[in-house]
Amino acid sequence: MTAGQRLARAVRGAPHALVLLLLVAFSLVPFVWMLTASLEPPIALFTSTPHLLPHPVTLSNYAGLVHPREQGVFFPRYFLNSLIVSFSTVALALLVAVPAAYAFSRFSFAGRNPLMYTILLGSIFPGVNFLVPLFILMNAVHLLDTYGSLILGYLTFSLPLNIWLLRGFFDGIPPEMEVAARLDGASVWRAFAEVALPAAVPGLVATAIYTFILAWDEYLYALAMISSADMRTLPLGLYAYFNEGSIDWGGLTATAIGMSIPVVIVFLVLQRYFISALTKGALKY
Amino acid sequence: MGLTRRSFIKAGGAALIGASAIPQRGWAAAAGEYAPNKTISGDLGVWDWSAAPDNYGVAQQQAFYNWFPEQHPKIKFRMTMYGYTDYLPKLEISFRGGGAPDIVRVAIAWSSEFINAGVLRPIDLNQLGIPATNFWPQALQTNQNPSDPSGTLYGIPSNNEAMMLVWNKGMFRAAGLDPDKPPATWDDLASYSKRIKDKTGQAGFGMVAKLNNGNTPFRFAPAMWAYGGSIFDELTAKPTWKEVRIDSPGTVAALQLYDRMYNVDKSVQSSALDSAQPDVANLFLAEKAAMMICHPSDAALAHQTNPKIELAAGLLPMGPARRAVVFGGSNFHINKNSTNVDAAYEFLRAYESPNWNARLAGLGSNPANRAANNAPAQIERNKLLLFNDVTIEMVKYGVNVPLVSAGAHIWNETIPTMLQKVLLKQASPQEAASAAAADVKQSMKS
Amino acid sequence: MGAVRAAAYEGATPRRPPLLSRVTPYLFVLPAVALVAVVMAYPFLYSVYLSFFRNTSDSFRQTFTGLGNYQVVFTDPVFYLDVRNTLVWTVGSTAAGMLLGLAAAVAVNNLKVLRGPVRAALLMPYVVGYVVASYAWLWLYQSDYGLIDGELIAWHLIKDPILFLTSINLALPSLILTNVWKTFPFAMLMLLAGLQNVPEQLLMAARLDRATAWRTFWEVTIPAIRPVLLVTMMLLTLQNFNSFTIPWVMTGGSPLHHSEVITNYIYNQAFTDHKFGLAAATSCVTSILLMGFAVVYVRTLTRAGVSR
Repeated sequence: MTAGQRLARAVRGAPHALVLLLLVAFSLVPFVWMLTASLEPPIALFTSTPHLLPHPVTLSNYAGLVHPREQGVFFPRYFLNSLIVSFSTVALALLVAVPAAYAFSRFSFAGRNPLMYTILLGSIFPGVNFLVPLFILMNAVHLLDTYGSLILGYLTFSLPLNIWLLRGFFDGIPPEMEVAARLDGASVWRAFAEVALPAAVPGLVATAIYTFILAWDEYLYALAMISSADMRTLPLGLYAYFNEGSIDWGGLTATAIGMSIPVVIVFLVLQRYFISALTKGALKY
Repeated sequence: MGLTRRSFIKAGGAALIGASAIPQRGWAAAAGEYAPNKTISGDLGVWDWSAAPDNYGVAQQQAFYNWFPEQHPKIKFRMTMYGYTDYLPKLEISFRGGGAPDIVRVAIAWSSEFINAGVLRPIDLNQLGIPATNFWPQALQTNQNPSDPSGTLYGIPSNNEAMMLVWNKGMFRAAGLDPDKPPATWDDLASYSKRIKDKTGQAGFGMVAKLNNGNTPFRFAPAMWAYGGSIFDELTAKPTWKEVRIDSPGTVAALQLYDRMYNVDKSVQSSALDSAQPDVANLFLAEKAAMMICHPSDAALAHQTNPKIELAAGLLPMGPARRAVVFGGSNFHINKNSTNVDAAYEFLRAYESPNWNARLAGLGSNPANRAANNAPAQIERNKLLLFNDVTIEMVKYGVNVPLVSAGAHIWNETIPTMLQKVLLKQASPQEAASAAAADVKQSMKS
Repeated sequence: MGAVRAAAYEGATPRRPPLLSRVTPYLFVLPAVALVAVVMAYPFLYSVYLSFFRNTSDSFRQTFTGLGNYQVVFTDPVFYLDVRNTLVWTVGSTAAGMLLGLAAAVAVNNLKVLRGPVRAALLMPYVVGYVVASYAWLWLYQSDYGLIDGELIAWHLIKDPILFLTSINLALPSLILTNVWKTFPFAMLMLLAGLQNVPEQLLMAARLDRATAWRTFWEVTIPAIRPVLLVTMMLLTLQNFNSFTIPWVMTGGSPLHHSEVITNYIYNQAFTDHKFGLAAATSCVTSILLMGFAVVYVRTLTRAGVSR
């Protein structure tokens, strides 16, 4: 390519590059601010004019995170709670949704369509619609303020979503392999477990990640169901920085970053799965 | 240092914690000191909520709840500590459906709901052994049923508090104001605010006007009362909470004052409509607001976080009608179905004993039992708490929040809505007050 | 498509299936159905039941009130304001999110280098969650110590701070921008995959016809990704309608309910006013409003699904 051609190509690509630059800046500026705020002593955030580079720099906000039981704010505990709740939500939802999605994909049986539509319908309603009765129910079975209340509560979004996504994935897997296994004499269950499931692993991983991210960040149900400090999940933990007396923005942003890093890392590592499987599965029409 | 109570604790609380690590034995016996009755037995269940993030308060709670069963080995003691946010629904559901314990401690604003529902046991002050005059009259009011003329008490106060005016002396000086003299009247407050804004460019008064937020009425109601306005008849000696008076001239005057500060003088912070107390506190700490209304613990926190600020505190301003502040605190109630009333009274006696009552008030409150004012523990606290004397003085002017079941709605929604309508110029003060009156009447019905 | 697939699978079994395999599908779906019944169907029905009761005057017990709660809901001006806000919020967020997502997808699709890192950077808002997003933007918008007003004033572009969160006209749009920031990456992701699945032949044909990039885009690419567009739009609309966190954390409804959406309203009724019956009634009304949308949603999804 001549220099002229290269230049022409660059110019043609300029609008795209500009758009990207703006978008990347748009996406990242709030994080830069949070990082800055977490690295400064809280008072510096207010006394000087707003700025993006931390000055003076301090690690005290992060140090505060790893001191459990101090100041009534227990970041490691919140982290653990979120981990337990999110993993359990994913596990339970997958356990129950995978067979159901398989059935909706492979079998035809009486009531299949109405059942499917009803479950999908459930995914439409705002969580708050279920919240009040669920709160009363959880209280009646003494599950309030426990992991159980959240794990079960989160089923209201994780289950329909998982069924829908997984059905899409199963639809995207040609049935020939299972048909062959069945012809070889395998039972339905074996065909499912030994042929279909392994092929669906990318889809399972993608669904798991998607559900995990939703559960990790869930705020409304946690707000209603959890009241003791040591049962709080991370989103509630952020809220704990709002005392009667003041807002500890330094601690809050440090926690926000601490809360986001694991998800970001997991996502970056597994994003290939997530992206390819999610879009292929959802788009396989 | 963070903007939390922990930094305050390090300085002052540590001393208190150290002293209180030795339970009752460490204190000299004060008059009316408590002697445990070790013969009392049976089951006793108590629900309380944690003083967190007040670490000193938490330590006192832990000390007490270890000490009490120690002193009463025959009592099977069960103590459950809750977080503040879902405590009320838990209480409601358990009193309705069963499972409520013998004793509960609740915020003052919640008591009326349970009193009206008839699930509480009347308290006999003779059996308790504390005369009624030891308690603040407003506090006793919160334990009565307004429609019961006999004045039977259905609970006793555990701790009481009131807010005060805090200001930045340096900013006063910069504006040419006497740094030692707070504004005497609400009108003066507005003038000071304007002057500070004109001379320093920073907000004078840190205004709290957020919707759906309890901080807002806590700071607006004192102004309303000072001008003679009220929601019901809470300004009278024996309120009945029946007649709606929120659309009175006093309320209108207070709304006009706020309107003047926000819209005309523009002397408050621009984000007032989204500001709760923590936001105002942050601005105060940054010396971007010169005055704020808050608890003494907030003032102490401010001092710890930014020692450069020359802090001062004084009484809330007067209005043409009076000086007023919201009467705050908590009450203890005994479950009507309690099976161990003797143990319940024993517990209350212990909690209300002067030294414990003082210590259990934590850093944000003061003992309900005024005999505690001279207890060694209280004297120690006064030394370590900035401006505690001011706030004790303010409690005298305390006026109660609406002690009706619609109280939460009226307090957290009706009042902020009325205020925001005026500040956003969506209604005149009179119109906003009339709409608020209609809303109050509506919520009293349903 | 499901029917075709099922037929392909079941055509394989040679004899009439015994009882067990007639029951088998039901066994597969049983756990899911049971759980859905417990955590969704039962609460939904209970909610309908609750909506006919209101608190007694001591707010302790419930008494039957027939349609009383519904009357309260339909005569509350705040309810109508919140429905309006929710619609503006949903439509605005979805439209802007789709546009931004499409722009991002096209731009990333055309990238020859650095595609991975750029895509990762653009996905960050999606990954970190609503709560973190709310607090971050709350700071940016704060009119007294926030970054945006601070910079604008420092650069002498404005004299008085813009009241992003406290002025009636700006509060909802400001929140919508935050929501768009949070949700456009998801749209980008879906649309990017759609773009990458556009058959090469179609694009080559357009090139051979000497169509401009713009015409190619509108007349070839967009129609080719129509299913993805529809599905993404539906998902986004759904997610936005269900939003709770951003308005709750950032403004709490201020100023004067102009930034409040219906989910916040219901939460307040239930947990601030303790009026469970009223909250249930509002939930039911909202659900009915959603039914109409639901029919369209399900039909679109399955139509997109049975196109094979």
